Amino acid sequence: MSGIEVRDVVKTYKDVTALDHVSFRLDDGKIYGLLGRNGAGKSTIINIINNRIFPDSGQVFIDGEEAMEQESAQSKVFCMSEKDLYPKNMRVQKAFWLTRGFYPEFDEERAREYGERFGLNTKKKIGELSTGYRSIFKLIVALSLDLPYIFFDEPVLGLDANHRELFYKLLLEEFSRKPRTFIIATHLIEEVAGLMEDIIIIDKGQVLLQKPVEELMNEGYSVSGTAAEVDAYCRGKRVIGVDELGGLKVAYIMGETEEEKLGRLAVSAMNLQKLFVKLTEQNERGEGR
Amino acid sequence: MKLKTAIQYQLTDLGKPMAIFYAVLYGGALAVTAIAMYLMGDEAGGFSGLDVSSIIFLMFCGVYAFLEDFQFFIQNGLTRRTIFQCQMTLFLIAAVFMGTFELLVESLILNNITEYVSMFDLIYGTDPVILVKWLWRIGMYFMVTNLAFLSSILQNRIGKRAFVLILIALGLILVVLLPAVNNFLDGAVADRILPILLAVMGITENGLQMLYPFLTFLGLSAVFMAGSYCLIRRAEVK
Repeated sequence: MSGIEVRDVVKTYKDVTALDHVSFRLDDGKIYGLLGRNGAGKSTIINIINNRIFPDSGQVFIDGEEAMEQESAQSKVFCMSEKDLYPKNMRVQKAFWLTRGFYPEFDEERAREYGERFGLNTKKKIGELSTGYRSIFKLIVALSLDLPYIFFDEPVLGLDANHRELFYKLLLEEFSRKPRTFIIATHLIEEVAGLMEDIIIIDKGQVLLQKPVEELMNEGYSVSGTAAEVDAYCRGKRVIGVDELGGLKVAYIMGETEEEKLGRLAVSAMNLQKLFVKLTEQNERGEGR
Repeated sequence: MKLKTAIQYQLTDLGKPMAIFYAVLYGGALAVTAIAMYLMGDEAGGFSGLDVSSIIFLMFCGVYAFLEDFQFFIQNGLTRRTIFQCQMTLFLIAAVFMGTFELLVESLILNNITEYVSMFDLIYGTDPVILVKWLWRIGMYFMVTNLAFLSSILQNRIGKRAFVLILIALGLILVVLLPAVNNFLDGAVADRILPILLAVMGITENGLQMLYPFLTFLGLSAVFMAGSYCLIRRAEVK
């Protein structure tokens, strides 16, 4: 059985429940978006899958094998995160060389080529790199690894727009060259919307939803008009949020449109970021579960 | 394969600091000796206990082995078990190398140009079989490195504040409480404890028993290693 399966994972820190019986599955050969607000639990679940921290209960399986403390399972995953786990005095080129030692699947030549494209000075010590270039170094390592599952936890932290575009381009090139599973946890939802096939939204330590992006986008739309007309249309529908300005109202709805009831209301598609914001706001209000 | 790469990495990483350490240590000692001999001639005297510096160096190695390398190894997919195996291998190699190197330097260089007294000589005051001296030093070095490694993992697991409190408590017990109790009981505590401490270091009423300190170092190393393994098994990247 291939894929990553997270089964009923719980993780608490003192009096905070970071993950509350989280279960989901990541299939192979897909690009996933792992979305969530600050403190939702995205990094926690990524760290658990990558054996950096332990769950209080629950299990994680990688290709059917228990993930925690199993080198054979951990040899299939790699995590690029904002946390700096490399020794600060280590030079970038040495880090590449060592990664090759730890992972035979690491293409050092490709890493150097990516380094040139990003303008990364591989002779520099990791600790001497700027925040942006430290992120670049880490995502180059991740992109140069031909492993089945690669996690990017806030990959574009500190990157300028040009470098972000380059990263997305290289990610797609990598995916085209060798389809494998990429999981991107990010706050820049609209930037990666075009990359992701499936998204998982985690909110308050729970999985809010897991769906193909296309299916989600087809389900969500907004209607705008006068408050009375919008309210009339929304009756019996799954409204996930509303915005009001004077007498005008915008309602965000999940479901199919009813053309015949629209009348003078304006309909527009919801972008992924707006959908995410409204779903999580709804969850915060305790609705929709 | 990961274990082999990890060990290679740590050995090459240790090489430079060790080379600098010995350069400074012996360079400094020899320079001071040369100046003393120039100024005072035959009355220059000697020096002692350079191996104490080695103990301090190894303790730093033990501490940093966890602080820096643990999270780097986790980043590269090593399990905690493999990390532990790597560290123990490194500590053993370092202890054997340093013990051997220092003994050679002392025997071939220092003892021929000045009166050098090692820690072993200071404690036992004899001219023992070189093998005994060598094993004693390796055992001591291995033990202190493991102690430092254990303390580093312990701090990670229980937090800095709790760790510092433990150190303060230990210090108070050893430096304040025990001496106070000993004074109160007219030296009864010292009368009980000192012979035991001396015995585990091989100094007994029946003379020197050099097996005892080696067993002590081995036993304590095993205890520290067991403690380290128990703690590192659930250590998390913070």
